[in-house]
Amino acid sequence: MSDNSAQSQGLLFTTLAEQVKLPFITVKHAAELLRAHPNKDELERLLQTIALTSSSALKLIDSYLLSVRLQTESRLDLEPVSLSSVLYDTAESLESYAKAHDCEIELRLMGKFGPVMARRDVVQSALESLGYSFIDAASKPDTKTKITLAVRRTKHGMSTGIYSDVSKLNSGLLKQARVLKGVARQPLGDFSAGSGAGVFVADALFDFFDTSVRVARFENLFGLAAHLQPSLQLNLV
Amino acid sequence: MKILLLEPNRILAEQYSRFLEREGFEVTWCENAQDGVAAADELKPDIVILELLLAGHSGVEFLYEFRSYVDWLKLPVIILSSVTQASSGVSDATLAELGVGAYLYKPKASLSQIARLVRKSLKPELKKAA
Repeated sequence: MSDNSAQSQGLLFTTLAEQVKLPFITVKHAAELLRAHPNKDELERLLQTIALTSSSALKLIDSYLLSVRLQTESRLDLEPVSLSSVLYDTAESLESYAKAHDCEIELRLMGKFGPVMARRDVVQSALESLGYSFIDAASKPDTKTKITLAVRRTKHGMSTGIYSDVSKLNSGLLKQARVLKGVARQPLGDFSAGSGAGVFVADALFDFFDTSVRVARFENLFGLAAHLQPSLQLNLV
Repeated sequence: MKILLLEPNRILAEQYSRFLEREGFEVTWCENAQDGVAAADELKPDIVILELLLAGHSGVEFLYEFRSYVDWLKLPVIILSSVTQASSGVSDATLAELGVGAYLYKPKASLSQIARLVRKSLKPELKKAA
């Protein structure tokens, strides 16, 4: 591994570690709440907290491990991947987390399109990691927030991403965040108070397809998306 | 006694609020500095619990703005952060200048410790109220 690559991995790991602290803190507090008030409601809350925060933390760790594992593969075998199918599965896996954050997931599949050349597990992992971060950042207290998962054809390829009615998300912010990854405590400062680990892990995964997370617009919504290249052969057929 | 809690993580905010409310405090939660300033103006809290890492506006910036209002100059502030003071780069001098009574690191701070610190910070007011 080159020095740059090792350093980049180190920064990504730091970002991940900062993000994963939070679920452990919430579980610790949930346990303390139960000890202080041992009743059925608190027990139920503890179990929900454990289930919810564990799933997002585990997803993030798994996505990170996937990115590390892929680095050791001598070549990445691509396959035709149906983005609509990936989005369905992503939406399903994000649903309970979204619901707990008063968010509603919406799927928008714009038009008919063929598969892209990618790896399904990598694309789904990237979108799920992105999704958890996005839900954390976009959800607002006492407000129902709609999170849109969309795929559509653009001049750059098939664009797939996650969108919402968010402000303070722009290309400059994301560009700066990449520089601050693992160094600043909140690289996505204006958009999110967290370490942005989900965004950077998604970036690392999309990098295997020579693409990256970018700020994108979908109708009147803003979000984070990646462009993937359609399979020209399969589209012809 | 009214607590203004500035905490960007919803789940943590709910936990802090629930525990502190059971300890007899009234808690208002804001997830960012902008809402925090507006809430402080409306609510006139007795104490502020603040995470330094707020989206769009750091906790320190919020404190400087907060302290610029005469009404809030002597309001007790506790920092409850997911970064250590050493990592935060905020010096003891700055904390003293901003009237921060305590700096707690979230992974180490228990809910009961937070409640005890709030009571200690509010002591003269609690005696007055009693």
